[in-house]
Amino acid sequence: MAILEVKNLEKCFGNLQVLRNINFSLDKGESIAIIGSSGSGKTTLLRCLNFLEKPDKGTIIVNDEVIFDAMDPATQLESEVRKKRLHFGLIFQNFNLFPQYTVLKNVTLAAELLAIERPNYKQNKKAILNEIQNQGKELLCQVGLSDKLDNYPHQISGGQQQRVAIARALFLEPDILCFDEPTSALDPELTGEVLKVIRGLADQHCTMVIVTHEMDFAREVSDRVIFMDEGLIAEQGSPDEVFGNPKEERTKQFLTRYKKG
Amino acid sequence: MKKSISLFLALATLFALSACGNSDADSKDDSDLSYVQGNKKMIIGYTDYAPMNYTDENGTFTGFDTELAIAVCEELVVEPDFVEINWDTKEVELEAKSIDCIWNGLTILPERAAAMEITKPYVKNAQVVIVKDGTEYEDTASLIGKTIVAEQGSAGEKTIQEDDNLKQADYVAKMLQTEALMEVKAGTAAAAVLDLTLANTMTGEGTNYEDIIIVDHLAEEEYGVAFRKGSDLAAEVNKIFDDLLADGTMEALAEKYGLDLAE
Amino acid sequence: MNQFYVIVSRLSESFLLNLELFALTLIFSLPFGLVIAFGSMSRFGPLRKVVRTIVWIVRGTPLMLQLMIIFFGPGLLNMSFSWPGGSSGRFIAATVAFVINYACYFSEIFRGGIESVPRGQYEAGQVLGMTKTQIFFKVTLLQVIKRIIPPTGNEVITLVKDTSLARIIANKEIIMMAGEYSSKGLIWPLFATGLYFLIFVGVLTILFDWIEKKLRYFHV
Repeated sequence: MAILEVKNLEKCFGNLQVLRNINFSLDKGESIAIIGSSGSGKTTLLRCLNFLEKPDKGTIIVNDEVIFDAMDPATQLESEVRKKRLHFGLIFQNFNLFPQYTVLKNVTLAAELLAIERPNYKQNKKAILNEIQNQGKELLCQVGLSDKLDNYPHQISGGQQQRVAIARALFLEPDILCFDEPTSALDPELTGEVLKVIRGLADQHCTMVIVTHEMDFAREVSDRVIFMDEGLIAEQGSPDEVFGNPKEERTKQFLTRYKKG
Repeated sequence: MKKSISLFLALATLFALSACGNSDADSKDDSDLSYVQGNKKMIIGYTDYAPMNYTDENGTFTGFDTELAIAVCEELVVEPDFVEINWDTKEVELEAKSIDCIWNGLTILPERAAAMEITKPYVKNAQVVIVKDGTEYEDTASLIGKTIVAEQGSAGEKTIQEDDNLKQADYVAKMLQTEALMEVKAGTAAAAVLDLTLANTMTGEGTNYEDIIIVDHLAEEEYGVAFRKGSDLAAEVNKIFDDLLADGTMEALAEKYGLDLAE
Repeated sequence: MNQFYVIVSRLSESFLLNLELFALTLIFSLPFGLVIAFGSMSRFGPLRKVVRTIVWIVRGTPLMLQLMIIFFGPGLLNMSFSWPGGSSGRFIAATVAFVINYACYFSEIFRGGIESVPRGQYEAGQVLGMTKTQIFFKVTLLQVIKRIIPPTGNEVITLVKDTSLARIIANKEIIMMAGEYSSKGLIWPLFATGLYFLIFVGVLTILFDWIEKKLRYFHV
């Protein structure tokens, strides 16, 4: 069952056309890796899904509901956009943890704020917040950071920060978890711990879209690979197909460059 | 939407500017006398300046100008409202009606008489040259090329600018006459040109400036009270001055404060 | 000796005027400065341009001149509005001039602080479903505060000394009071005023250092 469908997505920044006619779909429990050179539009695509950019054309459908249609202003109302963002989680390249909060609070803050909107919040405030605390601790345990709950972001390594970011995104139980080059800002020694966590999520059949330069990782973890080039999906298929037997010339060129480097 | 907001902003600006309308009719026609009598008080601008307006050891606000003003206000049937002002902005204060007159040992100068309505002279003054005791001084020629000081915008400054010899001295303007005194005492200026009345009060035995002496009298001058240009109060106060001269009040005050009355 | 105590007590009393002006200016100009900051960052073009022009004018002319314009303006322009009489009118006018002036200076400090928070912080809040208000108060605000403490401290210290400018419209603050003595030939009170400012600024310096220390638990 397709949990995500992207149709005819286009995006321009001024005169520069960054996305041209993007079409793909994603099934529940599937992991897609998006690869391609800088400027191919990978990050813009991810940002469009999370409503951080507004596409000029196209539709985005989640769980058979049209959450975005460039032709229909009703789908673009600011008040609704906030709720729609919750379908997705986003892990940024440079983590974007909140520096003034502890690791635990970073993970639980958004949930605590959303809890206020619950109908039974006032009566059960203490219980709700308590539950959120416990859930947060558990998630951090899952990513291997139960001993860092009271630390501040500047006190932990980049890899640890990114793992906190993953826990923070997971907390809100998004339908689709997006990663924007999650290890590109990390030292090589630290990428391993983050990739391990993502691997674990893939094993649990978390629905994910991962933009990455880690080719081996992409091949190992994803169910499908999309190669983007100059705003278009140049090629897509299973990891073995795209990495082992690329059909398009551009794909071959790109992969050769990466093998050499 | 944006156009109508810009239009609104333009209209609002116009409206704000029109708030600068006349308060009541054309105040030039209205009599200044009626104005202060209507307010039941006359706001008198002064600076702390012995012996004209100052606070004595007992904490009483007094002085020649203070007492004279109180007497005049009694005749005008208004309350005297003494307001301490900044000498630099006295003309602006007067024009803006935050004071109704400048009554503080104001030297009558042609430019001032042209810009404000000044009463006839009531006290005589001179600009004097003061130096540190022991300085060589014959006449103003002795100061050519030396550093001399006076208060900015004062009659002393004007005297320096008009004297052929002092023109050739190195003149530095000071904010206050007392700062000028300080410079002479400190030796950073050879001489200062100040009001006689001030010099009398502040230099010599018993003051901070024991070693400062008066060596020359220049530019004799006279004091008057200044009102807004075109004010009818000046003429009214002149009449009252005549009365106070006739009944000896002025003479008594002059003696009390060691001043010379104008002829 | 008696004179010494009299002078010190009169100086201290007049310094209260400086302190009063200082406190009132801060109380009103800080929130007002935040409003102006948002105006100068507005996405609505005309508003942004008007606000930035006003800030340019207020920061581009001497405070001393602004004091005179605000106090003397109504009288000189024959406006129907006039300041209350006596020393209270002059003090109110001074407060108004100071609040406008410092609000503009603070607004630029606030704007700089807000704009220097990385966009990623804002976006992280967005993808986690936070409202704009929540993002401002829960994410951005403390980061802005930490960034603006040093320049704000600077501005506050400048304000302490600027308060003596109120004497240009004859508010009898400490330096004008000391001037009364120097006009009688007594000079030391004028230089003694420096001590009052020095001590007060010292207290403020300690306060701002303490605030900076309190915020050292995280790095921006």
